[in-house]
Amino acid sequence: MTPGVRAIVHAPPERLGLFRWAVGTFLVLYLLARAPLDVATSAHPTAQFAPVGLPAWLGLEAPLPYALTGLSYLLTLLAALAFTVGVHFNITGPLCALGVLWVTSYKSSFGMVFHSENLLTLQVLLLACSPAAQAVSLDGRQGRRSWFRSVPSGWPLMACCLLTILAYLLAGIAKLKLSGVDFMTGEVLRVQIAYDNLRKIEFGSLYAPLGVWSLSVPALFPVLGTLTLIAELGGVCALLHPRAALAWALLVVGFHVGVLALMAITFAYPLSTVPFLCFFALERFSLSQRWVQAWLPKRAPAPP
Amino acid sequence: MITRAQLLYAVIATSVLTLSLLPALGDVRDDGYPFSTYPMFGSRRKTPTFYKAERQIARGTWEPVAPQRFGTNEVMQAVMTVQRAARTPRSARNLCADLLRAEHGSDASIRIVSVTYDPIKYFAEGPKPHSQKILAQCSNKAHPKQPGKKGRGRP
Repeated sequence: MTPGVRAIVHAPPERLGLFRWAVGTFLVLYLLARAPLDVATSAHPTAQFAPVGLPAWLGLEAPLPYALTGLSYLLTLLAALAFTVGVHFNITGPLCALGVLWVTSYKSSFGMVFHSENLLTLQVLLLACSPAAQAVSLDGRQGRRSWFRSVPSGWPLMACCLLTILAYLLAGIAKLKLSGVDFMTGEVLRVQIAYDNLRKIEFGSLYAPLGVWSLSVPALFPVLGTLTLIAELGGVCALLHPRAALAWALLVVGFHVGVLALMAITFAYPLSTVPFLCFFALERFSLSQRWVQAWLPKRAPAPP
Repeated sequence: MITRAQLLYAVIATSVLTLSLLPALGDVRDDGYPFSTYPMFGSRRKTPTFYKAERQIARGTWEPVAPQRFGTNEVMQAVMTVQRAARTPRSARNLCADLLRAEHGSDASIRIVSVTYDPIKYFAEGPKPHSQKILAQCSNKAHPKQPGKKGRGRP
């Protein structure tokens, strides 16, 4: 077992609880920020409806009425709040996972798959059916026990780490399948950046001026292409050592900063760094320690 | 000894991870959700075709229809909507009619256009299309133009 794997699988419950807090907080803020746009997807004409994910599995053939979309969004938001503070997690955890899967699938059912949400949805799913609210939670404070309490805290964290590595690995494999090693020469990436900015300009939308400027510096793109493939295919190295995990996480976040700067595409979840926190000993940071102390069960004062 | 909860979690986690990995074995363009092939940014594009919806703002002058008219603020979702509609003349006409209904002016004109560009030359030499074709055009005016003619508006 490598030091990296050992550090993850032997994680204390507090680390898992802190990771649940981080994912939940991002989820609540994300749902709040996107609510007007996401609920408005019901206004799309039926002809545009191409169900994926949960709506496809349930055989939904037309968009839901506006009120029903709004209601499902509101329930998901409430479940996400309960997920974050860890209250009645045996019920609210799976409900939150189901809600997030529904809301994000539904949004992607109108012709465009939002690849920025897969990782969030699946990490929530892996945490929802785990003992993630055994510590740093209202359930922990109030002595409610998880159905999954016998599952070691390191298992869900390791599952989330593997999922994160897999997501990027698949993106790297897709690039190799579509463009081969030519992706590293940079020309594919250069044309992609031009293509992406072009269609934004043609649609009268915001584009990335830095991306347009970068097209005049072709020497930049072999470096960017190679770094992209290293970031996407090299995730497994993050399991070797916590420092390797830090290096990989910084490289991937840097890649997303580059995507934002050159193509004006926001991958909010990776940019927040939250999906990578499962690799690290969160409970060791002093801020986290104070946070954990505040959520530990209250003990009766000792008799004088 | 392994408990039932541990076994259940192992099954859930293994299933999620396996299902996440499976798309890598198939066609990369066969994308899905939440289990994706993540095909973005990887394709070679020499002279790709763009599809867009335009509204007439003056005689011979057209501007892009804003993503909000498609019921979204996401430009990429609007792009995909036009791209899907451009697959058949009928769906292009339907989208044109949908967008026209959202126009409040009595003499509005909308058209769905396909344009082919070299993306690098677009920025290096200016927005000159290789080719342009009007896929559908609809209007509230008394004598709307017929689709299939070359557009005279901005590329």
